[in-house]
Amino acid sequence: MNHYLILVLMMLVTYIPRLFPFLALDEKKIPPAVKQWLGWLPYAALGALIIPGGLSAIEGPWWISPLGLFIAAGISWFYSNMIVTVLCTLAILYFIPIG
Amino acid sequence: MIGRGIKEGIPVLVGYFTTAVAFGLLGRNTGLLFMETVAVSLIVFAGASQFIFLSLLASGAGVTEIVITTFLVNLRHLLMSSSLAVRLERKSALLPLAAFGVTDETFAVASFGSGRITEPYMIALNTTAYLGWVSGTAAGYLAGNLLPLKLQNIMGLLLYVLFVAILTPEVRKRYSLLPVILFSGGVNWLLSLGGWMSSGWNMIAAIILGCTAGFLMDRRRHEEAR
Repeated sequence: MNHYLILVLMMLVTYIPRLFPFLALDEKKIPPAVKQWLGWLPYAALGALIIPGGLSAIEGPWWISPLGLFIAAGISWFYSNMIVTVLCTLAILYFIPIG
Repeated sequence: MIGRGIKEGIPVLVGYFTTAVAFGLLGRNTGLLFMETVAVSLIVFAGASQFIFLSLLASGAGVTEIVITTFLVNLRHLLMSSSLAVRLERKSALLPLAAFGVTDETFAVASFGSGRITEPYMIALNTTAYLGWVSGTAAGYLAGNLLPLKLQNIMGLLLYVLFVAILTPEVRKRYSLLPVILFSGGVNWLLSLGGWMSSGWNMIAAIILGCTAGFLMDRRRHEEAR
């Protein structure tokens, strides 16, 4: 099958869930309890995005990815600048021998 | 509004560019044409599912399998868009454009951003990220193999570093967030160890349980305060 046709189908099944809530949910009609529940979504989502995927993102010894995330947490605790955190973490990891 | 969207999108642009370099390189190694590989990023714009698409393609999977897997992997955006939708101020004809660029990373930045969420802000943020993703894909296809292998390997952690960098300042301000973050991550981990469902469903279940845990925690604290 044509690759581009597959891509269009993939786009549709990706785009519709992205768009639907914006069309369906009316900010003023949402019950406060639902809003409160949704307020936790960014934290729950990031938790599930980082764990476990991020714990084994780098090929090599088991500790290297957790160490990288720990370094990133350490840097961003003091400097909330994301670019600084990303670049410093990358640089530090680059100089750790992982065989 | 547009300026703030671009500014807050820059870290995502950097993260996306480097991750997309890996994607472009992999697309080439999978045997896709240059235009096809760039088209994946241009049309689908959903990181994890694009990598899965390549591995499915390489394993000879059929269209149905590819499309259903993509749907399940990306279904979590339904939850993220819902979270943004209840915070979005005023809707206009630009809404379909603003919704196209909702990804894990743009959602995270918008959620924790410094101000109000509006359509122009979201479009500026998403477009900045999109440019990094598409240009990174092209660069990776053309020149990704010039990068040292070790750097290519380490770059696999980059988006997770971005997530940690987004979360840490929040946790520093409010320690009570940490149990919910770890709980939702722990559920996702357990589910993936169990291997009962696909990773898309695992993540959705973990997010729903995580939100519920946070919600119940709020309730309890509220009752104790009374």
